[in-house]
Amino acid sequence: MDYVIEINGLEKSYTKGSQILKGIDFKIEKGIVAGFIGMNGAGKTTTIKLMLNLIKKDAGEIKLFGKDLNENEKEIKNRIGIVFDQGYLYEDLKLSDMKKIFAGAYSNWDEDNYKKYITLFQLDEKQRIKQLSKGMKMKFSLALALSHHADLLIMDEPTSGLDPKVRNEFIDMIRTFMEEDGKTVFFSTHITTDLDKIADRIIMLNQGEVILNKEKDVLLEEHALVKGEKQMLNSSNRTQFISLSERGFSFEGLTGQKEKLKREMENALFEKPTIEDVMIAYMER
Amino acid sequence: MNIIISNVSETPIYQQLKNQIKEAILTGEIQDGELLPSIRNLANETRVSVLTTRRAYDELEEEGFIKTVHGKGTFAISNNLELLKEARLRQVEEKLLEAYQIGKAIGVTKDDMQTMMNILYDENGGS
Amino acid sequence: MYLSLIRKDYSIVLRNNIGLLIAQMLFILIIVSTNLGIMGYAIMAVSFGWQILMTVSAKDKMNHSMSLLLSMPFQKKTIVNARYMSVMLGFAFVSLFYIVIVEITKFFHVFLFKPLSIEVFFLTLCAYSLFASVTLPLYLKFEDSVVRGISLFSILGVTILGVLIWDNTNIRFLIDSMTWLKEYYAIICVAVIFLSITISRSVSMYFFESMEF
Repeated sequence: MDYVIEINGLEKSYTKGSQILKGIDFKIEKGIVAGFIGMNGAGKTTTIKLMLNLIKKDAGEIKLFGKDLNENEKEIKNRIGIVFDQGYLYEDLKLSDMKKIFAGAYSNWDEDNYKKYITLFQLDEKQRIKQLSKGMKMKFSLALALSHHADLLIMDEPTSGLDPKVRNEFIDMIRTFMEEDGKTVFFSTHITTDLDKIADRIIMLNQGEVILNKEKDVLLEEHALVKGEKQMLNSSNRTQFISLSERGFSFEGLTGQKEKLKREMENALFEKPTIEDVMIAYMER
Repeated sequence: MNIIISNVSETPIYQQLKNQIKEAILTGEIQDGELLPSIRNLANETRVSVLTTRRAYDELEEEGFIKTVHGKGTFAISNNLELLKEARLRQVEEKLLEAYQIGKAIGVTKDDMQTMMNILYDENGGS
Repeated sequence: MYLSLIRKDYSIVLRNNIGLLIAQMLFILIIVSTNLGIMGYAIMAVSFGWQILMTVSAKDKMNHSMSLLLSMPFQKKTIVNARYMSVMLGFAFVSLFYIVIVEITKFFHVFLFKPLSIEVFFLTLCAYSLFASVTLPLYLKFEDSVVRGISLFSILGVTILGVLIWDNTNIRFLIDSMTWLKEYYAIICVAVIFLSITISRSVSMYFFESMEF
């Protein structure tokens, strides 16, 4: 198995005492879409910044494309496409000026490809970036990130603040990107419905620790949303819930031991959860 | 090949995928040596994760239904169909033996057993 | 790589209202030239250099654009070097602008602006480089307001120091006796420029490497 991202024992604190990342480990296989989820402040952006060497790690190891980030920074970055939450673009520049910065930075910049995206997204290159709507800005960022034949697309909260229509277009773009062999996407988000659609692997971060790292389908098959009457609960089956809420006569909970619980609670309703259900349950734990 | 994945089904997705490909090979819908879609293509078409699709392919390969040639793609193998059928028949025998043993333990008669079998066939419309 | 970064700096400076910028430069030039002659050229050069540094640094910091640059295959070294090149290129533009102005005004028989001599050019370049060497690293690390504060204090400091030296020593005599200074000014200027930029670059790299984005 080829891994595009390998992170080992990564630690980071901004001020002494408050550790943002408490030694995280994960690996991302080549050719998949990986969703990086967690609440605001869980350490997602910090992890991404460390992966781009924008901030310094306190400890640990970061390998991209099997190579150490610090030793092969330029070569690695040439193969990465980036989309940041707010775009991080120069607001006063025209789209065409911004493009020139990108075109000069990447050795395999593809002008035809870029023009294709500009037409597809109906962007006007003579406009200034500050005149674009949030959705348009994001599309422009994506056009820039996809026009140099990147092998890895890293995105930090790309869909936050976008309306559902634009988010869907965005997801479609990622699907198209993934059609070519060997392309990998890593993106952080707190809008988990996007991940239900395209993610292959889910990594969940909470308070600086990876609390879940599973294939999406396995994650959703292992867990179940259980609903039933309160009287079905007893001290032994209660422990099998990750989260449990009781109101009135009924209860609702999420379990990671679906099969076992099914045998014990024959009359309860077992439903397939969404990623959000799982995420919230683990956060509440 | 027409694969339909149900999201509400109890059967795990990779199992559904595996079963349907297996069935297509066993019924001859997919011929011997026919090129199967790539993992990425199949995943895109069925909207199933690549990792799940890969797992289904890996297991099918282990069971001898398909073969991946590096750089060329994945192909169906059905020239050992007879062998596969034999293996399945053996599975049927085993399960029947199990059913017989359980039935005997609780006093199910031969007639009862046959009636049950008839009902199963009738319900599923087969003969 | 350098080209695209320098072009970016100038797009930022020029997109930010080029008309106003030229008017501002002309205004400084005319006001100072009427009173101090060729000093107008020097002050215009320094204020243009300051303008470049101020605008570009502000826009790099605004909206985390520097983070985006650093996520691209630009090395920190390249970004710092390009900034020095942008600033030094600014001096070339100002000098060209001044020469053009001199020629145009000469054509209309207005002799407000003195022609640029080699001597003045070198001395101004020297002063300009010293100015850039001090402010560029500061702008990398600090906000505009902080740099303004530091600059103000250092200008004030240098002035007070100058006055003190002037009052307490016979410096006029000292300068007059150094005739060799006049003969080798070009070499001395080049040496000063080279030295100041080299030191300044190391300081900039030190700041830049230690920063987090």
